[in-house]
Amino acid sequence: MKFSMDGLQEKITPVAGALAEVKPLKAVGQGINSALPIIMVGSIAVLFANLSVPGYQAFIVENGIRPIFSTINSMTMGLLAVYASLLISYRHAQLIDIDAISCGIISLGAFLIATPIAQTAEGVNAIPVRWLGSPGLFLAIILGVIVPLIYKFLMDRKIFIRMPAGVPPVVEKSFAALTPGFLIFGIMGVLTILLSKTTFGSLHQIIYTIIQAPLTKLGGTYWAYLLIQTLTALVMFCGIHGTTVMSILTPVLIALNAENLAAYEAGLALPNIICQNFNIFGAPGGIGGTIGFAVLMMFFAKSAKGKALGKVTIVPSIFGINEPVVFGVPILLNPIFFIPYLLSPIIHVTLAYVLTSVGIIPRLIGLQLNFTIPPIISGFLSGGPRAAIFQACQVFISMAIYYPFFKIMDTQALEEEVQAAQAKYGKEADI
Amino acid sequence: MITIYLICANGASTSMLAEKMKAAAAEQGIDAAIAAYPDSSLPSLIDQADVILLGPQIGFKKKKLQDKFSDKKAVIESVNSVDYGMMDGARVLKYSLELVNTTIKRRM
Repeated sequence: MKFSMDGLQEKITPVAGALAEVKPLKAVGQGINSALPIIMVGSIAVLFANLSVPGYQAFIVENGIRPIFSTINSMTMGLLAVYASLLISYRHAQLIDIDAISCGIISLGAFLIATPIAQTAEGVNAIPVRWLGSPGLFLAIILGVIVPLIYKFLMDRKIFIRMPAGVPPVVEKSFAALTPGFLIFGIMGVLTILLSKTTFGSLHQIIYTIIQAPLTKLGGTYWAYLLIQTLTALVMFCGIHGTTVMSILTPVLIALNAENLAAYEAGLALPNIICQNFNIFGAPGGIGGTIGFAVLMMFFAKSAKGKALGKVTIVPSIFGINEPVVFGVPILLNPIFFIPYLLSPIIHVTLAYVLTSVGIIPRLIGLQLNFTIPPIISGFLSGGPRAAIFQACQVFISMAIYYPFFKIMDTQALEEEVQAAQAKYGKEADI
Repeated sequence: MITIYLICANGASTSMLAEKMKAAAAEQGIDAAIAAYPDSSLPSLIDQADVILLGPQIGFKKKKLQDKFSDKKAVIESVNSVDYGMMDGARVLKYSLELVNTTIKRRM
């Protein structure tokens, strides 16, 4: 099994690297990531508002605490698309080296212009909250991708209001943002008015019906999810962090998450098996589900290398960080580990999906959890005791997947260590 | 005083390595400033740095970054992936010092 992977690495790495560097995708991932406090705190507020602990519900209702949680949620998660429209655009602008905050603000403005104002029965003007939450997410993403591109196009062709010499650059910069502002707001304003005359009623409705709803349906399927999880592992196997690949599906998963969370809050049946929250089952211990491998090295390694790796990798693995495993063993581009590393997401995702479908594990409530929250805790929070028990089983499943390959590695390392020792103390070893 | 920045995609595991390197530097009495950052902050860091070490997961960017910052004093290299995985602070520190020494010689 020993041959040089350098040639292969030279061919594969640039491809995987290019995939990880697609700027609009990276921007969507980074932008949504920047909204993490909004998403996480908002979803945890729902969790606290609805915990089914005896006596707790009566307590928070009687003492007027429940409205605190629901207010936090509706102003954070409930306005997700508003935050996203600014942040995605901001990140995209940073990636293509143009003025980030100007782009962010223009995207936000464009997003709000596209949102139709309605009148309530009392004649009060109101913005329908529906489009500001996850149903408006795709418009926010589209604007976040396009606005910086238009901005850059105009700047590159020097189409902006220029200031005479001597005007401070800061002033010129703020005026430079005026041209794209006029253009984009103008287009959005015209579109909004034109579309309000059609049966769709708004740009939001069109994007939702034509893009978001079908994509969410497709992305929420077992096959799409499995494909992305496996692809993420494949990219990581080539030594490149696969989060960008995962972010192809992130908008869809976040929308599905929001649907589950809303249903949970309303006390309805949870509509989706696959959602962002489902990631807690996809890769225990980090991409490639390596937690079992770290446990094996920690407790069952015979070689010095295996033991040392066990000590280094076990703690980060519990928190979902497995670069030490991937680079230390190394797993990357190592033919021995190709099979378990790609098999792992397939087994974990399939098992979790099937067990949820037949009702052994509950559907998850759509909690947005950081990947560093350890298994068992993340399962308990988002699905209760049965989800936590399943996560504990996943550690053993992961051990089983990696065991034969761990054995090959450990035996090889041990042989090398013995040979090295013999070479060093040749005579003594002979005696 | 030598300034070493570790750069990777999101900074989770590089920050662990940075801690190990700091510990190794303190042990050996080496005056070094060591910190970990995500790759997006590289342009604002490059001027103060003597050594930029890339985590192996973004090692594929080495050539591009070396070309982009060829006019800066900082040496840009990627960390050996096994040293990275083993979180071997002492070895990576030694490697950084070697990098600095060889570049100084080259410039003289």
